[in-house]
Amino acid sequence: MYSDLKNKNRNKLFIIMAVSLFLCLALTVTSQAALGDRTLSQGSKGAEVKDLQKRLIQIGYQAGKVDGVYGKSTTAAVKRFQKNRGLKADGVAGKKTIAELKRLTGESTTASGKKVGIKNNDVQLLARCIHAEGRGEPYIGQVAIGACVMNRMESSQFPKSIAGIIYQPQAFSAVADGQINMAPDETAVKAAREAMNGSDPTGGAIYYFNPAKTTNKFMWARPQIKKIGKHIFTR
Amino acid sequence: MNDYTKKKIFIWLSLTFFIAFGLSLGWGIYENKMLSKQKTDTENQYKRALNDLTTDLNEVETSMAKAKVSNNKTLKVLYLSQIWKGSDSAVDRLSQLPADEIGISYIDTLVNQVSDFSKSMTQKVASAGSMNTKEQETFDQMHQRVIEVHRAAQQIANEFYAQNLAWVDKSPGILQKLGIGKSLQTAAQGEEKGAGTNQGDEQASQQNATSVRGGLKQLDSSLQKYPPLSYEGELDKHFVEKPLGLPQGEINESKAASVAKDFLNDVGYAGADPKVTSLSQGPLGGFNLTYKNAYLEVSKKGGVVTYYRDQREINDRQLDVQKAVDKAYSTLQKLGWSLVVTSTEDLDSYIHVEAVAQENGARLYADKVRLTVAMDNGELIGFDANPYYAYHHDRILDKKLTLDQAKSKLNKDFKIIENRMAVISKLGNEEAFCYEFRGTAYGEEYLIYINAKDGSEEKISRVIDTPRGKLIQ
Repeated sequence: MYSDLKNKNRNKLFIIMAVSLFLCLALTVTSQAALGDRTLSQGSKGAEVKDLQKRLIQIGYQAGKVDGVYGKSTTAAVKRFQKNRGLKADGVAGKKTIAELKRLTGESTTASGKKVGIKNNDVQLLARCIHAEGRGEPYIGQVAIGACVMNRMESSQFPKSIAGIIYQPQAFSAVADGQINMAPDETAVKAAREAMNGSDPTGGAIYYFNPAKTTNKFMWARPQIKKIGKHIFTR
Repeated sequence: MNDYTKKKIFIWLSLTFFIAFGLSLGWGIYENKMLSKQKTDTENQYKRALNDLTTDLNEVETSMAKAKVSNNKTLKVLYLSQIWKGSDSAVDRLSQLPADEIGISYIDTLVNQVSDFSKSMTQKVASAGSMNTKEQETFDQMHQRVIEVHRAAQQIANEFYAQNLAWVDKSPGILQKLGIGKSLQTAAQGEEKGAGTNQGDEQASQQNATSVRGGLKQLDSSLQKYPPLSYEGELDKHFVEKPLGLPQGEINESKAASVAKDFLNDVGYAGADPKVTSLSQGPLGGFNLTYKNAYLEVSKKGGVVTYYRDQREINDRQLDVQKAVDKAYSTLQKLGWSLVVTSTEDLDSYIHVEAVAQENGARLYADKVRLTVAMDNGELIGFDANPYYAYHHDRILDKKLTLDQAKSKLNKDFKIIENRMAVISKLGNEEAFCYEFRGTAYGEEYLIYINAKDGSEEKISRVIDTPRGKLIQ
């Protein structure tokens, strides 16, 4: 049984809660607009643009510097994204584009919809390694570099994780001289994905070298499989 | 110019000079400090890795001794899994240490093999209760080698602390040039000199290491005297010595060109004229051809297309995943393949598709072909049949269990969505003929494989929905 007084108090409490909730929401909206609230296009600025740029880069579209300014390179990246996703390629991040971007940058889920993380972080690292070691090489040559890393994971002589292999001291010259920290281009990201999916144009190679630059006897002594671009791939 | 101005100029000049000198001196000192700090950081990391490595090897070696004598299944499995854990960790530590030529180290190979072997033995002992004679033999051989490696690694660590050695060889100082410098000899090298006919031993004794890195190098060459283990495990699957699926006979260059031409014709390049541009070695090797943006490989043995990748520009996406898969199916049919698609991944302008061969309705997961399909027109732009030709062979598929018997082996909470037969790869180059059950339990989707011969649970895969398709973990 409820008395009138109790009901009144309850109503009061409810109103206070509703008002404060509304205030909270209103404040967060004005202080930080979320991606998807409005259409973004060249010239837009702010935190939403920053979020957009981060998400584009996360899935391999080079949107330039993450600076919150919707400039030329962001427009171009959005256009490429739209083209590749079958959207109208106008470089304007409207509702559909942002929804698709959000979906693709979202987390993976279990059958019951529980979130379990993004699950593709190694792609970024492998892409950096490929970009640092093989930019300027044909696409297949870049996949081949990624495939070498993947093959090393199955070899008895190397560590068993992508990071372990890439950061192994003296393993890659591009890691030693810091080139690994450059942002990868879109080709390198694609090549990394392809290599991680198991594609291997090298025929099982675990080493490669540039014959024009290498005098290392050890490298030359390895059984060679094939040459792709400037690199000779060996067992 | 009078004396006064001269004096003034002199004062100003010397003042500027002193300021510049002071600044550069300060900068130099600062840089030097930073450098030595970074050197210390790096050295500390190496020291930690070396210490951890010896600890890990100690654990592996001790557990191996215990696992050998244990007559109880539970405890044996525990020790085996400790070996597995310890050797896995040792592989990781080793990879943090600098080496001159990575990937040729004897220790690396040995420790990796121990890890792999103990993993499969953990499973084996847990189900069968014990190892067979041959496995026991391999295990004993591994133990002997691990003892040596552990002893030597400890020796290095001891020397390292006793003499405060640096990691990297310093350029020889005056003392070293006079022959009074510090040197480090590994235990293995010191003791086994009697058997010094081995090339590695000779090399090792010719140069005395003045750093831990040199010491590790010596250790490695001194261990080469052991014959390689005959163990073939899960590892080194990246390179297939004897492909099982290539057709008989060898082809020449002009035949390769016509094979490639036919292939290109079927994927949408009518009247293509591919040219052989280079050759590749190895058991799956042969002729590499190019045509416009396309690159193909045709095997010398059997004359089949093993790899194809078209690097053309891809236009606006027009298709959805299902339509692209359908198109890929019809292309595969034209090419003479009858495969079943097992997974797809949506990669924006194209999709990756995995397809496998079937035999009497059983999926042969090892006999895999990877496809890339362009989303602008559904053309096949990538084709990798290397796994198929490496593993495809005639299999004897007979089952002892009925479907109902297999179902009774499943977890009671597991709800079956669909089932079929499948051949899956196991540790080593073995395979198992299984019932495959796709279903859900505890809010997750799984693929569970029940061995069709003995009813054991052979493998479990978890299925996750990613934004780009289902991921099987």
